[in-house]
Amino acid sequence: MITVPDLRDADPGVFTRHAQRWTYLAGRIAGRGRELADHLAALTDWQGTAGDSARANLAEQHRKLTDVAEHLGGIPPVLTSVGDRLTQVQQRLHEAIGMAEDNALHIQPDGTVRATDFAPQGGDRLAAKLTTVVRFLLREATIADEEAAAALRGLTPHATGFAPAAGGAPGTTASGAMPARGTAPAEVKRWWDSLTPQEQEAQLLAHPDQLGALDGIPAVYRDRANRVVLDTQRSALDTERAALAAKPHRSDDENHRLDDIDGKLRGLDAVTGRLNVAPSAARLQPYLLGISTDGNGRAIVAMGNPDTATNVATFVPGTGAKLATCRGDLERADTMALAARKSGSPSTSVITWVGYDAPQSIVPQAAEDRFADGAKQDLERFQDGLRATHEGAPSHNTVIGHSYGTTVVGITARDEGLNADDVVFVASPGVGVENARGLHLVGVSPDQVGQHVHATVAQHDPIRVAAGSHGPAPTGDDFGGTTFASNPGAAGPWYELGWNPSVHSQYWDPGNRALDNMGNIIAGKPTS
Amino acid sequence: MQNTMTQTQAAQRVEEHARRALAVLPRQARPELLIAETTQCDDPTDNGPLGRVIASVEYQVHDLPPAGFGEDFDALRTWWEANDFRVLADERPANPYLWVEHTGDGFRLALKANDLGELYLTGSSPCVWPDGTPAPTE
Repeated sequence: MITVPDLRDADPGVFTRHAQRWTYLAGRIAGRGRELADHLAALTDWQGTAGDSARANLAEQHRKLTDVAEHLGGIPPVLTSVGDRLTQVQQRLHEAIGMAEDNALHIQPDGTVRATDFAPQGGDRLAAKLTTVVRFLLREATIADEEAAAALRGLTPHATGFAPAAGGAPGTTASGAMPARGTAPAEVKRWWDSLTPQEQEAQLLAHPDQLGALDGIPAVYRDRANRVVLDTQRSALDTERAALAAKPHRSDDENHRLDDIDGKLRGLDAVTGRLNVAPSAARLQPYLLGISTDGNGRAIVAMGNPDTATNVATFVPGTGAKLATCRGDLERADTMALAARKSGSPSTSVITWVGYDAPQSIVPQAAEDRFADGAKQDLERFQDGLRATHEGAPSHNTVIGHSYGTTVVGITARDEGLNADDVVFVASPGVGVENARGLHLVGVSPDQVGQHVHATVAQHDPIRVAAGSHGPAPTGDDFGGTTFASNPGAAGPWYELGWNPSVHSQYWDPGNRALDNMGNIIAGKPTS
Repeated sequence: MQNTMTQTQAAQRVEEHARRALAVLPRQARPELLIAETTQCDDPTDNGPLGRVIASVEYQVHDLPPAGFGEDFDALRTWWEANDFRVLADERPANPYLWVEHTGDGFRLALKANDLGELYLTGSSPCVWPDGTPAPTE
């Protein structure tokens, strides 16, 4: 039986919000079913036993997905109904509580109302009447709750197709079967490939947060999982923000948290905005490969499908990189994808990898290696994942670091080995090694690495002063890499010794030679 | 910090520069506008003045035979040099990339070809304040 405090403090809106999520998920599964139907239609010309078998299998999966979507579609009306009923009952309870308070009556948790010593004359009679009303409301709420529970039990798990398969085969909701985060991407890919389409959909439905963060899951599915995660995290931040903003008096910590939330919401807006841009020659189809609002936040977004592109580049930004300020880093990925196209890349994917806790200050944080040390295993595994999920012939993979991002790329290649054909260091304060031979690129022999290490720094970029803090500049003659040209930038004033901080960010400006050269490298062409 | 032309004026000017360059190419050239946009020309981590933008356009030029790209590059270089542009980079033949800057207004244009037989023209403005005047400082 629901008690007075239960009903008084309930948030019936939660049912409506969950109904919206189930509606969304049912729609996504129905969409997957339609995709399968399209695949089926495309297979009509495939003759022979293998074709018959494939069509039969796909037809069965299509039927199951359609069934699942249909049954899942039954959940939102139940949730909406119970939400509406509880809202009405709760409103009447609040009216009863108000009446009790006005007449110095006390309502007990079980609905019994008693007159206090301060009650006016006739308080006992009023208390008895109110007892009847409140208990009726509690019964109404309990019935609504029980009816909703029964209706939902009728929908899951067998009716929705999510029950364990017969014969002890792995159940579709067996989260234990999912590899843990940090598992080798090739192993993750094998696990994913072992699932039926229905099982894959079930994993997407049940564990989008875990699936979206797993290197080795194909980009198309990772994108779907992370879009759900993005919605969930935005909702959580919105809720927390509303609660904080409603407080009449906030502590310094709470004000700091409010600023933090506002920044992250701006970052989520930037990601959402880019996800919603219609694909074009200049704005490739985006894939959300990672999103998180924890710590400084994470945003890993691919412009173009990395699993099918001929040329794939990963861009690692430097000091100041975080979810809140990712908009510019997303634009740079678009800029580089177009530059690669102009250099003759037949198909391209450029990924913005805000996948680590970057230093947030030039002094002292950017002088420390610990941020790169904290990133190296994640970057290594991410690159391995790109290899594991790529379809057809291996893609030409490039990793591009900017500023402290070059330190991350260098230290990863030094300590873990980096699954890339080329690396690019733009405006580097040092990459953790004395010489290009200290960098390990998977599949590239040590004596050839120098030809796959490309670096540039603009003439008036003050990062030149910082070179040495993480090792010698990779543009140096003794480093053993290949340098390429960039726009020198405008000289700064004499009192800045000619250094111009703006130049540090101009490598991606339209027409800059550095941008043209980065396009060349991504496309596998020579630089100048 | 100095006043500049506005974002709208920069967008108009870069389009004019690009149109004049495209008119130099053979008549059958068919330009396709890929991008006309303004982007930030600084980022929040470089301590530079914030709030300025670059107006840019990006055209892909169709229907010109790749065998004639060399002549197209030559024709545009000649025209640009005769019309107040200076050459910042001409990296042919290793890299078919020609980059010029107008000596008066600082606008830049670049012509780029690739081995897929594609030709692109990029135009960009200097950094300008959106309203022509520096953003107020706190």
